[in-house]
Amino acid sequence: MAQRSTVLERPVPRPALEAPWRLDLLRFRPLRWLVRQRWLQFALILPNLFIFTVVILTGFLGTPIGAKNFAIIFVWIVWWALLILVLVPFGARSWCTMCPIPAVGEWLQRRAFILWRPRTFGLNRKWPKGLRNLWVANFGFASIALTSAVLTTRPIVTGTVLLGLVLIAVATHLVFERRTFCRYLCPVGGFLGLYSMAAPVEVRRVDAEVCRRCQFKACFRGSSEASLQVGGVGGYGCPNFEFPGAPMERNTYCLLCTECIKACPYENITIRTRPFFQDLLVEKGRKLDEAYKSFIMLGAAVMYSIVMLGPWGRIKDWANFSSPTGTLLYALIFLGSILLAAPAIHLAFTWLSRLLAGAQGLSVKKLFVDYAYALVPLGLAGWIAFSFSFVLPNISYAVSVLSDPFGWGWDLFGTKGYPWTPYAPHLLPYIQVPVLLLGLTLSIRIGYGLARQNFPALQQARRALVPLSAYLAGVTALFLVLYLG
Amino acid sequence: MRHPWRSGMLLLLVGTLVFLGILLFSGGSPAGTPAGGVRTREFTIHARQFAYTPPRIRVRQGERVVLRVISDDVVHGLYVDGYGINSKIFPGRETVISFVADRPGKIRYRCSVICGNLHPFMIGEVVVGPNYTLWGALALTALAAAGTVVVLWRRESSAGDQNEEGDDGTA
Repeated sequence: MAQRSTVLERPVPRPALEAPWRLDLLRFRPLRWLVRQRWLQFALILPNLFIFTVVILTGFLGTPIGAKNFAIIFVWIVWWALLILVLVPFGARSWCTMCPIPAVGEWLQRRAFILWRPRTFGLNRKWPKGLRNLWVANFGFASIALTSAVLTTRPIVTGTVLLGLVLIAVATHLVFERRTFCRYLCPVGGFLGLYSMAAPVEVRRVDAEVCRRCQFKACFRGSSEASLQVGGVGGYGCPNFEFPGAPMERNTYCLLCTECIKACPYENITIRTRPFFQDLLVEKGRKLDEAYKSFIMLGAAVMYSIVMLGPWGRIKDWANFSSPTGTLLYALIFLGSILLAAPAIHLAFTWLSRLLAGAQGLSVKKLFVDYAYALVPLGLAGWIAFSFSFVLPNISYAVSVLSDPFGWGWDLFGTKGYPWTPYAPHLLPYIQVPVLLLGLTLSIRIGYGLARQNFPALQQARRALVPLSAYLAGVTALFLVLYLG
Repeated sequence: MRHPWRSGMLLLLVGTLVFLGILLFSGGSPAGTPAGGVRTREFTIHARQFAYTPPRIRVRQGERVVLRVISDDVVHGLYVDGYGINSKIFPGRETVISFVADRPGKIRYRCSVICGNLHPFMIGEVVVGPNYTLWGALALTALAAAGTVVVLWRRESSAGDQNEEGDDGTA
């Protein structure tokens, strides 16, 4: 790139399109205008906060019958379907942009709903170094996942957990800096981060040279008087501790809040489209905690397919915490499967892959972590297939619940009497099989890329791919046996 | 020149479409129907929160399935996916449900009367054999895995033979 003069141009010139799927969305003026508005995130959060408030109220005050309660139907069917079928695969962590859970804490911390203020409220402490990873979120998710049969069917439990998350978020915002809650604690954010690597959208810097020469680093530090004299509309430093100018190479921790776009005085940060699953081959940032998130998610999708979609009453009783012995047994099986068995199987195939490749000098731990990212497409496909299985038969409850959210006999929109109507449940195999096969092929493709990064010789990577592919095909077969067998 | 990866994806797409086509049109031609007419299989099913017992029954394609369903606790329902059958099941009273299992694979039936917290997950299964749906899907899985591996290998051969050192390993 040609060296510029000492005065950086602003806005940074947008390069021409590299490929049809590499579209700089902020070349479109209306969108560029929109993301630079300070009210944008507030406007996205506000309707969700209203729905969330109704969820909490109906959770505590509404009927205990889950299928007639707004909290259960709108959180675990409507929201979940939107999240896993639309937002995550196509919009990365766009849910985090509009999530109401950390909103109250963040508003208190910023002392503002919309405006940018250079000084924040609270103790502003740093999160302990040893916990700057996903382990707390991983164990939080595993604990919540363990209770899912109760959580997703009993309104009071849903209300309590969601309110609890809000209270934890508020406390965290008042004690720790920025969105420590979202980065290190949120059980949902952890898996959204993992699967957001699949999405065809990213926030990235435009010109590396501009970032290198930028003296403000407003994308990380937040706007300052000096940076605002050059440009920007006043933005906070990345709430999730990312440094887009550094650069940020993966979607994992990007909340798409657009603060960096607002703060950058050179308009050097943009939103781009890109091919799916691109981040999975980015070597920088791969860690054991993220790898474990991958096992937990894949393992949980398999376990839920057995517990919730299977016909076995005894397992449902255990998952429903009907007896202390059953509960203990279920906890051991569930946690053992997702925290021990899934990683152990992964380790065995990693070892086999290295053995076949004939690369004994390569660290098994590194390969173990790297290969975990090959599970992401298949894991996401597994969750999509699982979600269709309960969303299609049960989404019709949403129509009647909308008119009677508390189950008190209201009929707000005249739809209270809408009958339960399972939508095409017999067509589920037509959706599940292609989704799982697509996930499998993409996982193998990513797995090959990972093998090429780890094994210097082409022949080694080829041999290494064989056990990895067999393993991924085995996981796919397991899903198919559960759904079709 | 056509890219090997695209050929592989095309092959997978065609395979999936063939599989789905077989699934779609596999009904209506019952295999093994006895000369005297449709063979009938009867089962007694007990419904209780939140399962049917036995949880899974197996029949042959073309057989008439008769389910004699009794609730052991509260009022339940029984909706058979894809057959439009929906009945209420009362405690201590037998409800008879009948249909011809004309499609191979798994037929799920589920509770259609809200019966408690795990009601949406109260599911029973009729597996209609031979289960071509499952075997077809498993065969396609093996084909997809092997095909993807071969395509990736071939792609590397065509692109990497000239300059293996320069390959960055990205997919």
